[in-house]
Amino acid sequence: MNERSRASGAGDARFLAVSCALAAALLGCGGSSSGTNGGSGGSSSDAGIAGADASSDAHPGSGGSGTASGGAVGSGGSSATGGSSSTGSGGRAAGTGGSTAGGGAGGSSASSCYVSVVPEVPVTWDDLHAARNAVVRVRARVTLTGTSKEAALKWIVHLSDDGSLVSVTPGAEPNVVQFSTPVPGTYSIQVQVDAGIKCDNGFGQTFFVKPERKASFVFSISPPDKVAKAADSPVPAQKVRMMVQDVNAAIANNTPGQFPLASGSLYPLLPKVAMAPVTSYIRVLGRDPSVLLPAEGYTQSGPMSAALLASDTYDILVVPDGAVAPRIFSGVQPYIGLQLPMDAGVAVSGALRDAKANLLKDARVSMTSDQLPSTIGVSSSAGQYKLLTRAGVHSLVVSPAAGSGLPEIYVNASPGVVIGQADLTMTVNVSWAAVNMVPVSLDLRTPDGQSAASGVWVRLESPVDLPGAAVVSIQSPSQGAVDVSAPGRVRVDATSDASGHVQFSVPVGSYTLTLVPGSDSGAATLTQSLDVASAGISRVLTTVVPVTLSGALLPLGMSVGVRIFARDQTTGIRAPLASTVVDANGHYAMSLPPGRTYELEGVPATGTTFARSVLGRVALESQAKTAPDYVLGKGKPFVGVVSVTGGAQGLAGAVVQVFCGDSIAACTAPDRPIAEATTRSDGAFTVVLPEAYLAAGL
Amino acid sequence: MKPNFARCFLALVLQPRWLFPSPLTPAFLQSVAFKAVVALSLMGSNGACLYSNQINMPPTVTIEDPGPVFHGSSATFKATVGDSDGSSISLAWASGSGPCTDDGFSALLRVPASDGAGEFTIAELGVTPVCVWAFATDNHGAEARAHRDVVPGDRAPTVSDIRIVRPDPLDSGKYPLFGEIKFAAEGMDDPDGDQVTASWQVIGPGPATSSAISACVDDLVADGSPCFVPIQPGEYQFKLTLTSSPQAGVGGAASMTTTKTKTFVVAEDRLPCLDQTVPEISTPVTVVVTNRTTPISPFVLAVKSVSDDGDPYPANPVAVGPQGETKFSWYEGADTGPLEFKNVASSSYEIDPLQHRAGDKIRVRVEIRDRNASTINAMLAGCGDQTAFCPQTGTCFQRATWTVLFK
Repeated sequence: MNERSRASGAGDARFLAVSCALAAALLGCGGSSSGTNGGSGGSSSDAGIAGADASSDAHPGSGGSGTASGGAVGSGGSSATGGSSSTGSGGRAAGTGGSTAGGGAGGSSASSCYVSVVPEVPVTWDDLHAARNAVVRVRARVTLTGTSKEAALKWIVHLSDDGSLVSVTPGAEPNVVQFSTPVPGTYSIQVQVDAGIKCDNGFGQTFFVKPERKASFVFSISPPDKVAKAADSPVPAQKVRMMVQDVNAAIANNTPGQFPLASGSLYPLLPKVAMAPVTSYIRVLGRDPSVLLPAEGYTQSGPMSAALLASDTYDILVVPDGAVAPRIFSGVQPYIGLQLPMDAGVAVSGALRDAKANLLKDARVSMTSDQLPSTIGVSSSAGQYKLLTRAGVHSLVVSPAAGSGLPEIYVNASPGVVIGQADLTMTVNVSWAAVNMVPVSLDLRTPDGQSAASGVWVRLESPVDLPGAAVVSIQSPSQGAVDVSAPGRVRVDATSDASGHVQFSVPVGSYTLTLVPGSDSGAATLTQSLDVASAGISRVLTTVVPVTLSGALLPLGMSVGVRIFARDQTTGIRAPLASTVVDANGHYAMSLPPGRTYELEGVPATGTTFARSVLGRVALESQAKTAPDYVLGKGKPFVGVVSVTGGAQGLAGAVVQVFCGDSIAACTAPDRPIAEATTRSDGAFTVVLPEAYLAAGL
Repeated sequence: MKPNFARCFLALVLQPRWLFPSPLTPAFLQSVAFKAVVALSLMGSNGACLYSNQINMPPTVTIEDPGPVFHGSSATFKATVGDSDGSSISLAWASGSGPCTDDGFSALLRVPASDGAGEFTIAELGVTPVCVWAFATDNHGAEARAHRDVVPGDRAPTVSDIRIVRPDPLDSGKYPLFGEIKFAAEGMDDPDGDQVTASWQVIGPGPATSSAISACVDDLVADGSPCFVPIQPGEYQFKLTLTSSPQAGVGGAASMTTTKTKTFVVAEDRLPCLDQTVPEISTPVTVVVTNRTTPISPFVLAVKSVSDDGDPYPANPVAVGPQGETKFSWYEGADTGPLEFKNVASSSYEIDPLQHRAGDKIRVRVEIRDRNASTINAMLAGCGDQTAFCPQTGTCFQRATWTVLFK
């Protein structure tokens, strides 16, 4: 059931290469009689979502996409129909009908191939800087029509300046890759699609990588609330980049670094449906290279007051409480206005059935398009669900009811579930493939084996995706009917009862079993593999106690009071963050779940010239272990003064967090602050910065 | 008898010239005749030449007590002179270092008294003793001497007030516990210009002694002022002892001390307040988008800052006083029902999205305590278990609870 019947998408202008291989397709592809890219034009209010881009720069040859969508809204005349599918989306683009999926009439040999490349990390092509550890991760979105062959992608990335090939590393999914950008220049990405039809990549994505950013620290500064939300000239939390060499100079000259913050304006954010406010969660993200830190709000008791810089550009995610689809307002500039008009969105509904056509209740269905979620659809006792979402290309997750044992079903973002701009409704039915369900009976015991271990959270999960776990039948006005053979993964949870018993019913196979005891149980998180045979299994499992990781932190006598954090680096469910304090003898010990690898980080006590530093990684097996002697990194105190641009005085009470950022090669934890402080009454603050990072500026 | 030089001269020169041989020979001058002539002449002078029969009495001189004298200052000496036979007297002065000895004047340079008052001034006394000499000489060359040992003294340093530079007192007039108190001496001086050593001592309700005094760490530029971090509420006294340090010298001026005290009261420990959190404390709902196609990193809730009198977070990294001991307690649980304490001492809490699926709804709570809080599992005083936010006073929250929606 790999057949696809895919309309040409929503006219995403990021589609790079389009080919209509067959003459018949040309009618619908390039020559779409509607020719308007009408569908892709979309609602202008959806700026930033696929359709908006499409309307702006669809290139020659992408007309098919426009036609397809346009047809969807009933331009139906769309002459290029190679035969409408049986699902009745009569206006569909040429070739779509050629699909056999969904019982389409078939017959048309029109086919087309659309490829778009979108950046995932970072999220835009803008302001990329070369760096030894800089990585760009991209996703190819492939939309095929008229072929049943699974698309195989070949990535070619060039540094255009010298024509050299850039090594590409596969990502977590077949259509995601990543590569390094250690040198500046113009990079080009081409994706060759082997889908049984010609999918010429005559175009390609190019982007420019600027010269390496000089090693710099990022100071994340959050003014106190009374300043950040002042009615007059609020000063929002923002980040300030300071080159390491300037930091060094300030330290050497005993002069404070200056951190002037821009002041902005307060903007009330209140999503409305037909002028009626709708209680929503709001997240405001500044676009790179914005200086603004993310802000969140909840409009239950009124508008969210967001302090924004008028010149900056923002993406605003709105997640309403009620039956309204979440929405992202992309590229918003405050001076233009910050209205957040909402509507219900596109209704996606369907039925969920097991292999015997039994309707499944209490399953959850959700869709995600990049960072835009849908509402959550929960199936009724009649197996029916409904969710609300927006136009775009979505991934889909269907989680069966806890205890059903059925695999969770995924449709990844590529090929994805495509909702056209004009679609008002869509049907997505899911039918699980037949599986041989067998019982798994676990009796959990306390570590001493003497008692039942109750209250243990148990996760049983298949370690890899199971192909063909379900057939997802998608039907929409714009896309017609598509059947997708979707992979799945068993992911069931339960909590042990008073007798320590847990019962699952899962398909035969190999699983990863994770036990997470209550934090006051004295037992430790445990992950192990579990093979479930055709007859099912019944096991008594003894939970484990934490084991001791101990060690010495040098220099002895000077490391007293240092707090050591142990972060589980294991893939999958992680053990909780643990910490301990180094004693007067320079020794430490902490109890940790065994069988895991931990990253140890030292956070010095105050009054020292040591700096936060990652000490190392330790693999902890089932026995107590003494870690190698680690040496706490030295630091140098750096004094800065936070002020408001144009203000005469320093800003007191602001929280300053320093990050080593991506421009410092030695930076091991760019997402965690390496130093923190609060500004004093004169706006000054002192942080101790690691010498290892300061050396990057020498 | 006072001689009459003019009359005596006339008596001598008016003798008949024939009485004397011309020229006068030595033999004549030694003859009885000459002596008789002279005797007669002197008798005839009616006593005008009869001085030779009186003894010249030497003058007298004493040096008046100059009163207290101090090193670094000037000292003026006056002499009282006299001459019993009325001879005219000239006065001179000299001074030398060290105690007086009888012949200690011989090597000294004499300075004539230049004014009518006959005073002698030493412009700036050192710290060692000085011997001052006065010399009175009459017109007959008779001389009298007097000396006086001068030991320069030391005056005590002065201070007008002790001022608390920071922090500002609370509304109650008390000062915050655990806060660095910077104090300074106002009007500190030494009239002698000595180097003055300030010694601070804190007398408090507990074991707060001078050892608790330290250099201030909260200054952008250190100015050498002392600071103190009270760790107990109650009444305190700053005691300042100033000690002057004259230059060392044998028998020199001794050190002088001055003390000054200031009383102040330190308030009771106040509760910590959640200031900045992620998500903001005013946003009780947050959303995690469980995009399965994107590598999932932990979703982090965090406390960014806590205000407290002793345990602020982040703690001042260079503070040398008591360590900040903000305690964070994190709890997690289902949308309804009890929350489970998580043994995470960090200021941030990571949620592993892998443990959840779209549609899940959980609650996460953080509570903060300072060093004086009771056990970490104890509920905050006055806060109901189900209270999402725990405001003890006004908008000061010790607890925040978020509902996390997985989408």
